[in-house]
Amino acid sequence: MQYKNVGFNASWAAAHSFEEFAKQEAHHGFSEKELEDVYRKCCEMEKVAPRIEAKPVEAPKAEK
Amino acid sequence: MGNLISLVGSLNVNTGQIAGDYIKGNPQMLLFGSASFSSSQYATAAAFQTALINATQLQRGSSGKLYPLPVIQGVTDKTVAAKEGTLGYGLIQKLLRSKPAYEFDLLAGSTLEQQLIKFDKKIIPVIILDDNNVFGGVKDASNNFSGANYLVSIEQKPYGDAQNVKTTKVTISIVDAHDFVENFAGVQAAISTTSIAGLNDVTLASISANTSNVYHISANVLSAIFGQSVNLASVFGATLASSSLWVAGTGTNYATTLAITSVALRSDGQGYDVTFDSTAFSGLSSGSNVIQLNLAAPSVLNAANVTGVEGVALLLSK
Repeated sequence: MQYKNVGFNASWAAAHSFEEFAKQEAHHGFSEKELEDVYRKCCEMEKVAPRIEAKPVEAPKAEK
Repeated sequence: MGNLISLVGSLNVNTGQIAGDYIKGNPQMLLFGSASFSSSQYATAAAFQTALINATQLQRGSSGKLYPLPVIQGVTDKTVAAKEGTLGYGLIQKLLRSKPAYEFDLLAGSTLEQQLIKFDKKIIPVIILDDNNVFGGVKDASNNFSGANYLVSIEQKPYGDAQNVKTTKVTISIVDAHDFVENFAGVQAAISTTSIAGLNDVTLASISANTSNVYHISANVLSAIFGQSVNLASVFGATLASSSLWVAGTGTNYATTLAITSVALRSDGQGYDVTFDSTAFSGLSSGSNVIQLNLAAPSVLNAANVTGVEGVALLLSK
């Protein structure tokens, strides 16, 4: 799966969680969103459900 | 009445001429190697083209690999004439049949000569393509088609003398003269010599020290001239930045696959950054020659349009 001149091993990505993938490929200088997009596409290619941990949502601050 | 006491019939032949039968033409290309083609592989011209080209794209060291040489530019018949003797009253009797041999003029660069010289003084099966589009060789008992055995001589192109044209000389001398006639077989297939090409060796090297599990690799086809090489990153660019086009191994005979998680085309154009699975990498012992890295097999590269090359394995330290 190629993205901006980097060929990612889709099979490897799909066999790991997004957290593991992002840590493995952090050195390419992509944003987290870009890495997530790549990861999702890898999972789609391998027909595997992506494993992405839901980020905790910050409770809205109460208005004064 | 003729002579009824005769063993001519025991020759068991017929001498009818087939109209339009093949007659050996002028050689255009030599193909060295032990490739053998079954009847299904030469059943049609298209099938033979596929099988032939596949044989030229096999990995180095494959027993059935074919090595096409540059297109022939000239030929000198070096056939050793039949030996004859005469009886006292002039009857000529053949003592020994002729032994076909040919010297071919090829245009080969210095780098290719360094590869061709490895065939010197070796007995090699040779398939000869002529200008009738016939690939000439031999057939075996199972009707498989292959090259005939020739003793090969390679002579390098000398420096010019400003008087005569000089070329690389390839001489082939047939081992068994029966292969030129009795065992001769041919496959007719109009295949352009341009599409029959050998592979170039790609030298992989480390550009700089690795950054943990990320190795910075150049991939060049080197020539005999310092500084003159073909950078695969310039030729194939991002096409070669694919994890499926590289292979890595560790352990005994490097038989344990080391996963490559990504391959990046470097922005400086010097080559590629190859990233290994960090967990597997961490588990490796430190030392020299721990990882073997190479390009994938030529057939895999070809399928991805990375054509005409084969990698030479690089040993990496951790």
